[in-house]
Parts: sequence; structure tokens; C-alpha cells
Amino acid sequence: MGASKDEREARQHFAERYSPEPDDVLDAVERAVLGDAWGANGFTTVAEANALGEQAGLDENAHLLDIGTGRGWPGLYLARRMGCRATLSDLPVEGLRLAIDRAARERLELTGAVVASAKDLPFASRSFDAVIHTDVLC
Amino acid sequence: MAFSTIEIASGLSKSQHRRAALRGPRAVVSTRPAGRLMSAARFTDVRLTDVTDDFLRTARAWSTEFSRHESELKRVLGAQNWEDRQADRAAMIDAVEAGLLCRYVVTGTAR
Repeated sequence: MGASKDEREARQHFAERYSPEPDDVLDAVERAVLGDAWGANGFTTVAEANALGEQAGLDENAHLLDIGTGRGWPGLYLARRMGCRATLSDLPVEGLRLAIDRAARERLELTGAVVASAKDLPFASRSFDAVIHTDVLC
Repeated sequence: MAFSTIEIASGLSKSQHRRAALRGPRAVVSTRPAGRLMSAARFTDVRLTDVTDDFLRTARAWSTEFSRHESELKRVLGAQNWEDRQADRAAMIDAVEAGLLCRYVVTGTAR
């Protein structure tokens, strides 16, 4: 299925947003605002990510799908905190590239990083124990 | 499933709705309320928690920190990018303060 106009525009917008390489000042700003530095620029704080992880019932046996993950927030963070496996998906490959690098540095079990629209995910039903997304519907 | 979402507040006039749509995130106009979407998708035990106060606090914190680190961020992001982001943020903050935008955490269980 081809990307819609909205998806193409969103992809372009967020590709530009995710393009700057990690930088100390970006990390410092993110830590001050959200409580940690994972390349995020939205409104999900560490406290909210923790609550999402608990509400999604994550534990070390779970397989999490994070839709619209950007650079891996909060999916990779939750994989580290809860010990679960994580698969990430989003449209901009630029963010996923950085997420893969971060997962390697953190030695996290990243089971996939998939370029896909949330409307057309390439996974079989019930592939995951929990699904999260943060400010993706809007 | 557990997720957060920003929505246009209910009960707005047409002009308020338009203003919310302009000042909110890119696709805020295109969504039905999250609770209804979840129910339509046959999720059970759907719960919504209003986190608008936290949303406003975080948006203001981004604006404050971006201002505090203006020269360094302009070097990293480019001056125009910095200005665009601050302007977008200010418009969104105005909309939240005016009661036009809300944010929710939504949870539900797939059948």
C-alpha cells in the first residue's frame, strides 16, 4: 500500500527532525525536560514512560512493539527498564538508524526496527504482548 | 495497548476548533476521540487518564530549556529550525492554556 500524502509529509517533517546527530546540548535539554536522553522531542516524560510500561504489563518475558518510535523512545528505554524485548517501527528511517545504534550501545534485545506505517504494519496478529505509542495518533 | 494522544477538546465552537487544529500537532484534526476508537476496535477495559497538566508543564519546559540554550541549539539545529520549533511550541502552549487541546493516556486490552 502506498503512503498517503499525510504520511509522506509526516515522514519528511520527522526525517528532518531526526537528522541532527546526537549532541551534548540536545541530550542536556532532553534530560532537563523529560528526565533522560533518548533522542526524544515530544511530551512523554520518564515518569509517564514508566507508567505506560506498567500499564502495558511489561516484564522480562514480554515482547513490546513501539509504534512511531522515532529514535527509540520510549520503547528502548522500557526494554532496558523492564528487561523486555522490543520491536520498533516508524516511517523515518533516520530515527530508526539512531535507535539501532543506541540499542547496540545499551546491549538491548532489539528484535526489529521496521520502516512501516502504523496503518499497515507487517506483523501477524498477536505477535506482541504489548503495544505502545506516544502522540502518534495526533 | 497503552498510548498517549493529544486531542482537540470537546465542546468547542467552530472557530475554537479551527484554532486548536492550527496550533496542535500535525494530524490532531484527523482523529476521532481515542476512547471511541478503542471501543470501535473492540478493545475492552478502556481507560482514559487526562494528563493535560503534565503536557502543559512539559511543553513549557521545552520552551524554557530551548531559550536557555539558544545559541548552542541554533548552532546544532540551525537558527530557523530553532525559531520554528519555539514558535510552534508557543502556539501549542497558548492552545492548551486556552483549553483547546488536551492530552490523554489511554489503555485497553485486545480481545
